[in-house]
Amino acid sequence: MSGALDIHVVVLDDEPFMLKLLARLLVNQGFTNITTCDNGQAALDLVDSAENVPALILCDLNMPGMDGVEFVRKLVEHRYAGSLILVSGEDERILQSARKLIQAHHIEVLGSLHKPVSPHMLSDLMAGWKGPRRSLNPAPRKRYDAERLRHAIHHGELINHYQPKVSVATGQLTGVEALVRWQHPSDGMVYPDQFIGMAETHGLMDALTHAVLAQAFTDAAAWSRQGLQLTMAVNVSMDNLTVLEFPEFVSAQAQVAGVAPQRIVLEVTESRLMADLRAPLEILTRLRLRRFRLSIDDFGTGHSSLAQLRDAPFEQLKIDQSFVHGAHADETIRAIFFASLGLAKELGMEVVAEGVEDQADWEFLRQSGCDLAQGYYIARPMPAAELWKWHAAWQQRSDAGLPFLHKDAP
Amino acid sequence: MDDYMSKPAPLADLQALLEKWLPVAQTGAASVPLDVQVLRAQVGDDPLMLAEFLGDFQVSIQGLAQDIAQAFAASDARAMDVAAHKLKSAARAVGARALGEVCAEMENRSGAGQMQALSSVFARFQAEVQAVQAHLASILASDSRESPP
Repeated sequence: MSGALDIHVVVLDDEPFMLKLLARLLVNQGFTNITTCDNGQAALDLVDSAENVPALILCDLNMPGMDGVEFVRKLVEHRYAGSLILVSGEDERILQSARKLIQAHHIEVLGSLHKPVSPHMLSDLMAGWKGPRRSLNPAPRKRYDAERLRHAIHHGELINHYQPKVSVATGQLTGVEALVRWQHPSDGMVYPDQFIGMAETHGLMDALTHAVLAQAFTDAAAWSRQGLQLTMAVNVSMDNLTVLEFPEFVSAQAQVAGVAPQRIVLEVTESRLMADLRAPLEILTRLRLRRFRLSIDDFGTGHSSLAQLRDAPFEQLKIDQSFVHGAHADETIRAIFFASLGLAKELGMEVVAEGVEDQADWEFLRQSGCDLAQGYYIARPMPAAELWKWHAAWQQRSDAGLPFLHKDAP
Repeated sequence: MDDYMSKPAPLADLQALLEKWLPVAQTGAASVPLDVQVLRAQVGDDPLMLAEFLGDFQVSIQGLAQDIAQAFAASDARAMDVAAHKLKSAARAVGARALGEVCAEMENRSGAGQMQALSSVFARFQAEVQAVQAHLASILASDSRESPP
């Protein structure tokens, strides 16, 4: 941090005493270029200035006139490229939702500080500051047209990566989830958020799902031959479950590859509310009759809801990562986590916790009675060829009682 | 997000930090209208700096107490909410815990539109403001006596 003490820091608070106090805290930490603003407009003027643009803003949430939330929206309009620390006397949930909102605006939030601000908390946050970012707008994400994607699907440019799931009780590897990637010959790795939407709107989802399934089954069969019996999870979206022959297709693929349906988990999400559930429910029920396993994915978000749980024959529930990561430290998240877990258990379902990102998440799960865990703390998605190497390393970690890897394991 | 602190951890952390950094005996601190250690933990030990901030707080409390009194007289819930929120933050920052609490209570009541329920709280508020102001005056007076001419 020593090289960054001359960065321009703006403190925004409507109360003059608090303003001066926060500025003093920063001076005491060695910052030399501090401006105080008692209203949002004054801070925005600085953001617009030709020189001495702020790299970091400490912003009070509750201000008369333009409050902190409105100020942040304006920051985006004014193309602010720096970071933000929230300072507030508000309660934790308001701070949390403000933080979520700001991150949704793609402004970096270093964290939040409760008033009265402790110098040590402030210095801890500042220590995590990575320095000014170069520009607000990263290189625009490349857009691909449907024809190019169709070509990719039919020429084997889509490959599966696999993210392990482990037993919470024993640490044992039980299965993997297939996650599609586009290995673009000139652009390198392209992630699904850049092409799934287009596949959906251009009727390419069936072809894409078929490619993913075929590859997943082939890889599962290969691991099985090598002595690794894993469940293979593949994502399917409710709105793609419209082709009534889907169960026959999946059965045929599984049979050709030699994978038992009991080892195949179809993770179902519903990205938009569907008017007519008859086709998807028929398909899901028939898949279940053929002994494929059905999992309700991202439970608790979007339309992955109680109604789906009521209507479709799911036997596994994946608690969305937003109700897992940090649950140990947050009452609200924890309450939702335990409610979901209890509901699933009551219904006799297997439960997977997504988004296990650090040691604290893992230890929380160990106490919770949840069945399976998935997340960066355990492993990032990886190419099929790397699974063995990861597995050996994981077993070592597991045998050693899962020592702390290193702080940012992912 | 690098380092988000959420309850109950930060309170425990804060407690630990306070105990670590403020070995000075805290007995009776709760009964003092204004515990200077709180401010000292933030700005440091320099007596001139402390006096400056206490002086600033003296100005703030006077203005905000006036705003609150006016809002109370006019039954203006919004103005009460705003002023009580500001004074709450400043009072807590400067170690005037009881005043901070009573401000929080007024903020909650006015935020919920319960202006009529404010009378008893307002009486406590005024008493607390007087206690804090008297305490401030005595600290600042003794400080100026101790300072070199």
